[in-house]
Amino acid sequence: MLVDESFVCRTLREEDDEAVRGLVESTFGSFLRGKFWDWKYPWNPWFDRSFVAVAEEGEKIVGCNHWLLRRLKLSDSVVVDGALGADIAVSPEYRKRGVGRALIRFLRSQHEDRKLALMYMFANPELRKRFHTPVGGYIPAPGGTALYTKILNWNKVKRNVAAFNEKVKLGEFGNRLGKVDLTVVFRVRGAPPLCLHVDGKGVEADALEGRADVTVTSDVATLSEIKGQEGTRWWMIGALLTGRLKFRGSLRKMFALYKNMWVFREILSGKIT
Amino acid sequence: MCACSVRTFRDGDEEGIVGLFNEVYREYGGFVPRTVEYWRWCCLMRPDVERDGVFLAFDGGRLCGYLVAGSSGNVWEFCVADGEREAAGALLGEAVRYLEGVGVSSVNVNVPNGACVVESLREAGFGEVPAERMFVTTLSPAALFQALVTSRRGEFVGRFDDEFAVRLRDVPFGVGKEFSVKIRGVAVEVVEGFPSEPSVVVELGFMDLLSVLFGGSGAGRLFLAGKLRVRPFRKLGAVLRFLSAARLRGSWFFPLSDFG
Repeated sequence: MLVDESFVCRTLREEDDEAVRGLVESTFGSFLRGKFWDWKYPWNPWFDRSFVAVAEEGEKIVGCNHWLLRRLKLSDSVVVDGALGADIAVSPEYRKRGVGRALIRFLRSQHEDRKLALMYMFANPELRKRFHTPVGGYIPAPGGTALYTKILNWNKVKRNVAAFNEKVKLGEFGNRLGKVDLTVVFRVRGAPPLCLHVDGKGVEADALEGRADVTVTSDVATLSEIKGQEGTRWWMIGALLTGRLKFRGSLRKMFALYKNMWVFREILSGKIT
Repeated sequence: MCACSVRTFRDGDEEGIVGLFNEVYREYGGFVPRTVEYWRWCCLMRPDVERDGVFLAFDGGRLCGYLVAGSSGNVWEFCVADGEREAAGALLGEAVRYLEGVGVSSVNVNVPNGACVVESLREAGFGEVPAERMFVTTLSPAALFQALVTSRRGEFVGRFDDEFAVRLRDVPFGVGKEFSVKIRGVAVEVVEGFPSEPSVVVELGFMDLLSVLFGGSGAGRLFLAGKLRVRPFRKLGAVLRFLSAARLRGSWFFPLSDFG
């Protein structure tokens, strides 16, 4: 047991399951909803409660860190005992108080004698740099894996549109949509077309394609890169020059699209695949 | 017309699936070697996977590929024997039809860079997007070296006759700072702690060592940057050869089913 000023770290007990499941679900959203936590941990044939740490303040679970024991191949001939550093979650009101760091240190001290040759995890590069590397000394694993996506429909974008229109109704954007009247069709290779109409009332997701003022042609990789870029303007110029991104329409309407790019960024920056 | 036939999963298919996976990805690192028990848990028992979402392709009676599609839109495993492009296309077609039927918005597939299935993915309208990154560290550099050295003894035995004492800087919490690798004749021994009379002392940062072992940077470059110290200096060549022999080569591939 590791005691901090306000919280205590200890290993997972059966009576903690519900609280930990709830904490993980609230942190990671829909992916872990329902049976995913049960499947990943208690139903896992290699699950070991001593590899899950919880941070407790009073009677309340405020953080948890899960490790999963695994044999991992390092090359064609090398296989080692290791652990996957899986879900680490801290209640929002307890973040930036060292709970995550304490949980990692607790599990490391608990299992120091096991001499695990490898720890690995998946995280976004920013979180890795800010948190996992200073605490655990993580470096990028050798590359070699590629992810491919195919968009089947735009249902998630339509949900983003609905959320955007709610904000418009609440007056969150003030008069910014004022005189806009623009229909844009996105033609993404391998996906059905997406036609968005923007006017003062908000965005309509199922606009008629024939009314399009501007057509944007791209592929899913380019669209995904545009979403991920902070300095989108320069990146877009590069994509235009290399032909990965094409615009068709009158100059006046393309200028209107440029001026109202924030609307499309707002809608497409959420989860679309 | 595709010469291969595709059907959904039946009990008893596990052995063939696991054998095919381990064979197709035998040269890669970065994944859990498949056993029937592990595969059943990571694919078949997964909450978003139904048996109707596991497709197997056969060339005659031979299993030449399979694909595990989940109703979350993730293709958890996609494995096709070398050169079986028709099977890859047929499996992808079935998976996309199945996932359209269950109403997902998009399909995600993880494959090794440059694999033969990449062409089939492109033909089916898939585009490459930024993948999740895997990060590694160790809780015991000695245990990691033990695994690297004992699995590839041939690269060390006969090439060295030294006791390398390694002293690490900036180690994370709970990790040993010192270990030694003793190579004398055909004997190779890795021990935690600092030996009494090492023939070579190597000093470097913890993450620099990992970077050399996992192929991120070369030992020579570390030396030139002043991040690697060797005593006595005349042993520098042996140390560079030693670290180079320990280095992991080859690509890593993690299927989505290992991810979570």
